[in-house]
Amino acid sequence: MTVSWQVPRNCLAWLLLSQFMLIMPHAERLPWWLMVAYISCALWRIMVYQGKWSFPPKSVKVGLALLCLLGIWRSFGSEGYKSMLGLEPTVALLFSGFCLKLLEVNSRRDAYVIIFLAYFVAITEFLFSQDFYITVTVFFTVLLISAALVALHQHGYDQFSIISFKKAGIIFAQALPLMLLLFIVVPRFEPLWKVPYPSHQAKTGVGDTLSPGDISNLSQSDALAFRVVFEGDVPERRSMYWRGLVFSDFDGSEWARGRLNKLLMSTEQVAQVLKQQKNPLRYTIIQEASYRPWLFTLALAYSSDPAVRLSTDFRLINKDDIHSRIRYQVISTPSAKLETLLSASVRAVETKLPAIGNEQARSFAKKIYSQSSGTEGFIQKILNMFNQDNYFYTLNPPLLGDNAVDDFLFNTRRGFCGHYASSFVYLMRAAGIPARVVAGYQGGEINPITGTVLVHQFDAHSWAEVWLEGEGWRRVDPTAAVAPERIEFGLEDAMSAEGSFLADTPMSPLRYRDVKWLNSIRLQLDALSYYWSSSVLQYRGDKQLDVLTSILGKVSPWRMASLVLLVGALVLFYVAFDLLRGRSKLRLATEVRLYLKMCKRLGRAGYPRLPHEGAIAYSQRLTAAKPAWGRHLLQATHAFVTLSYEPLAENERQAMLKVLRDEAAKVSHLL
Amino acid sequence: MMGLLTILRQRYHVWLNRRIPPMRSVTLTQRRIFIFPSQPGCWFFVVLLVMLIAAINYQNNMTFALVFLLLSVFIVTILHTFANLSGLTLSALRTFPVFAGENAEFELLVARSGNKDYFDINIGWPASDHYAVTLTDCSSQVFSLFLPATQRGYFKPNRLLVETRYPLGLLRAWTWLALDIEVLVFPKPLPCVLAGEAFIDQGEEGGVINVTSSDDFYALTPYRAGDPLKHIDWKSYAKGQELQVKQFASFQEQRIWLELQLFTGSLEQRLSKLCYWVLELEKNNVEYGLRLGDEKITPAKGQQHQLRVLTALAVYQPHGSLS
Repeated sequence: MTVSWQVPRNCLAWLLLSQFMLIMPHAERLPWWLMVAYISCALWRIMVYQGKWSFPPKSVKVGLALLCLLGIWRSFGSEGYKSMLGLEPTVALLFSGFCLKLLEVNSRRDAYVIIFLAYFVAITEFLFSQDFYITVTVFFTVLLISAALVALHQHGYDQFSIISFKKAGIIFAQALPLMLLLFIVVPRFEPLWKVPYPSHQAKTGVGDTLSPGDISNLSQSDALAFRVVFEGDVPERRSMYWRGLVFSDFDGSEWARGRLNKLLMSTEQVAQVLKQQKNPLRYTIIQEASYRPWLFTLALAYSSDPAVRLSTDFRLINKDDIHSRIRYQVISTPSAKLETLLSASVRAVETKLPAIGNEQARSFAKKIYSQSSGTEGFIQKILNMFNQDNYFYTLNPPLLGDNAVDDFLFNTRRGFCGHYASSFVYLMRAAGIPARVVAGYQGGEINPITGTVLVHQFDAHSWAEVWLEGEGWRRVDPTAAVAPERIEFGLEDAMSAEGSFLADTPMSPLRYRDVKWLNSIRLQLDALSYYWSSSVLQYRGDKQLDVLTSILGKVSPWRMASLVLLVGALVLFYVAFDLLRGRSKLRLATEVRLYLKMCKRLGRAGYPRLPHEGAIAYSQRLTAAKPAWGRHLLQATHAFVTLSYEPLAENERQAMLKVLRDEAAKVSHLL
Repeated sequence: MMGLLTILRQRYHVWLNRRIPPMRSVTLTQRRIFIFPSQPGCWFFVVLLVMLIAAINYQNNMTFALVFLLLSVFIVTILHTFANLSGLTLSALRTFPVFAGENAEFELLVARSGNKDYFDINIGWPASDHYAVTLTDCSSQVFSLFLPATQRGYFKPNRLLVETRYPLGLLRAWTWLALDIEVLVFPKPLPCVLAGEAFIDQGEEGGVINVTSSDDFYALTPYRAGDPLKHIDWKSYAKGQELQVKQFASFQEQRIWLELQLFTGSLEQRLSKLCYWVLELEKNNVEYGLRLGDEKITPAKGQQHQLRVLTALAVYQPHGSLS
């Protein structure tokens, strides 16, 4: 037989639907032309099926493939993506193959190829996000793909039919317990080799360098930066300064990490930090993907996590860039002293300023320092100045000139935390006091449902650290002098007069925290996301061991195998029972069922049908005895006999069935 | 090597015959159904493996979950595929005799006993076209399969393949059924000339009328079923008389004995030539008999007679040959 094979219409419909569902969550990261290409291919395929168009000739297909390749090269070959082998270009390539293959499905084999490809494409979404809703969407899409696979084997459906979806749904429902079992039991292995991660052009969070305006950009984002689970009580909001980066190099306008900020601690130094941990705070941080290695902790932090390193400026750094949500445990002692002895070379670095520029600030610092009683007094004077001399805390500071520090201190006097921290450190250094800028987050929101602290991007903050003889590095936050409500209550309160809190994202639910029910929904969704992440997405290693121990008592290969076999066998036996039960159940024709029901009623009323009696003889005998309802019985019997023995058109059949139903009802009513 | 393979194949058939003995009507049960991943099913595993590697390398728990789900779907589908054959009953209905070289028709019935839907069941012999069965609205279906019949005699087809890949095509459940069904194959008619001596009737009844070539009208006799239509006297029928048949003298008197010795060639060729003449004589309304080995069929005509003669030709086994 060489009759050209056609995809069953039903299968094609489900296939197109599942493809659409696959491409939708990727829309944000796929180039727009790919969406256009997919929609055109899908429309072309539909037109082919309706017989209006023909399949494209080979030259067109080759042309389209080349166009797609060129497009991917144009979209991803440029900066931002390390190579064409990155994750995004690969996904784009998969999708182009996916939509072009649509125009070429003309054998059953092709249909299998495109459906299996769809299964594979489904997992690419998980490499970008494993959120609860994304997960539900992807699993639903996989169900749709399976419906297409079922439809491929169901002949005789010329149109879209739900029957394939039902069958796939039944199979999925039966497979679900087995999936859960495997998910709980199968051990997660270490990665076999290094793989490309999403390149994500827009790295989020606090950056490598800091110019005064940087933090205010971050403050427009309501994204979650990280989440903290404290073992004990949550510390006060005003003391939660999450250190992430320390900047020691200043070039006159921008702060950058210097040589000293990039050094890692030696083993002895790490041991020293550990020794300083007396009665520490214990907490776990769940860091969202930032595509940077920085970790954010309270001061003097230590982590025994093998992926976490300590730097000489007392920060924690992850081994690699953070591409997906990670989780690590930290202990911190806020009262511990940081670096009580400062070597001459370090002191030189921490007091260094550009040779020229910002002269006014430089001489101002010297003047005030000479008038103050020591370093403490100088710091207090500067903070008082910020507090009393008409300085404003604003998210929309004016642009600054070449001598940014001078311009801000003596001219505009309006700035965000970066401006205050930067100019404060400048004044300190100008007076010869070691000081540096620290960037990270300040504060956080407690979700009462989970008890965890949520730190959002708008909590980003920068402050200063000043080195004092005998005390080491002391945290000084000049912003607290200008806008104490920022530290006490957060950015929203600090900006309430200006109304600039999340001004660029009017839809953000965080803007409506004062609407009670909305806030409650937001917190509940957040709790769901937290539990999802902590108990499902992070289910591996120790956590898996704990769960298995609680189920099995003791984790051994024997016990695990027994569990899998036992539960698996139970599920499969049930499925087999369910499937084979339907085999021998006889389906009686509707008229037979109705007639037998009526006979049963008559029998119960004392007029049973004799074993030798036919339907007509039976009704005649009863009619003679009970003419009151016998007439209806005769009519019902007539209808039954007609339905059983005469060929009827569908509408006649339905009419007859109605007669039978009505008359039988009358008989049982009159009995 | 070949010897070993043959032995293995024979052993396999012996085993299969014991496990699934030939029957007129067979209900498929787990004893009779085999199941194994299909070719797409093997590719499905390759896809799963690639996905698993991605899950391990990215330490991506949801990808793990998806791989486990698809694996579980595969496992559950084993039962679904199996259930799509289990409980079906295949029955051999009837066959129609054919001449060698033609396609023999086998009429079969496939039925379910319950109300479960069955989809995408392919039934056929390796050499025949496959028939796809779907049982959703009706509980049984009658269909015909065609197999080329090459040799005269009773043709018993090999085992019938019943297979399904429903619902996902990842697994193939199948069975080889030996249905107790056979078809009678007549020799292939081979046109030739009939030697003159055949026309001499040697029957015991006597009363030989010489063969003439005349088509003389002889008499009208009442119509009997099987009389050739072209001899019906339509004119008298149109006048309202009963249906009558014209008898022609020249044909009526001819009685021919057909034998192997009348023809030349190999046994099969001679049988083929005999077959050709049986058809020719029947068409021309000549009475003919057959002497073949021990078989002796007295001259007569009509469909029943023709079938008897052709059957004798089909099953003839010369003396000295085995079985």
